Amino acid sequence: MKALLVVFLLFCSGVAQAQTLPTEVVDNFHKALKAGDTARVLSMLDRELIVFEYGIADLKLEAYAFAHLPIDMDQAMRTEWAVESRRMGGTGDERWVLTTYRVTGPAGANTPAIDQTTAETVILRRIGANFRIAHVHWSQAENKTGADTKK
Amino acid sequence: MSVSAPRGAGAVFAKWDAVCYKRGMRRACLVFLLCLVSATADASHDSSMPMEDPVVQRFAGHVSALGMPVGGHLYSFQTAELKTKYPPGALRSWRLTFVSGEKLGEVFRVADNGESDVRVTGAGAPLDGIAIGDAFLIEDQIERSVPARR
Repeated sequence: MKALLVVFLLFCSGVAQAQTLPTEVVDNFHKALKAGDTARVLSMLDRELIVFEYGIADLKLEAYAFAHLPIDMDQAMRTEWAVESRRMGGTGDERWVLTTYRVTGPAGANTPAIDQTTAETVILRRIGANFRIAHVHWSQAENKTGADTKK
Repeated sequence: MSVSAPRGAGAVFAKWDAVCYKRGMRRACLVFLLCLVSATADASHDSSMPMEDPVVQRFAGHVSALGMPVGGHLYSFQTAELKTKYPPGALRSWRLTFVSGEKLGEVFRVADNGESDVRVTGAGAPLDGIAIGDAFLIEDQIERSVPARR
């Protein structure tokens, strides 16, 4: 009986995992960034990942993971990303999630306070039962604190 | 056209300039202004963000040579970039995550480091499968999910 229960729970767990929405993947990605959980972040990224960040292109997962992921994790840890608007679409194995965030954070010893809107485009691809992030594009509006920012 | 004495803001700046000059502070003011400009520089979510305030201490490097196997398994490697960045022992207990190669996304805990070598703890899985050129991040983070020894 116990074994049946375990099998049932595992089955439910598998179903729940398979039904993870693309928006949940995006939210989990941000949670992992904020937690500084490098391995968890990598587990959500497609091997063919391409990232565009403010005009900089990482055309390989490895390039992003080595050069920019650490900075993104540090940035996520010191800021709050509140969803302002979101749309999702796509069909089948390809989906997209468009989100704007209000990003705020206090000034550091050598960095200014942050209060800006960041736009995010994420394209997800279904790999097996789960969606993985295949493309991310971030851009931002002017920093409301008056600090110089890149567009 | 007659030249009148500066008024308003102009007068204030002229006075301030004179004060600075008299006190020999002009250079100090310039340095201060440059620092101010630097502090308000790009704060965006990108690679050009100033890294003077790292939240997590981190060493990013590549495997330059494999270590000697112990009991048929690999627990260490060399990395040329480590020299001059962290002294021996500085990375002890830090989290190692490979970000390329066969071990991409796999996590280990650093047992110790020398001038150019890194050894992971034997409590977790060995490094079997890593190759020269593999990239990794070693971060000052508590690792709660180091894989069990195989």
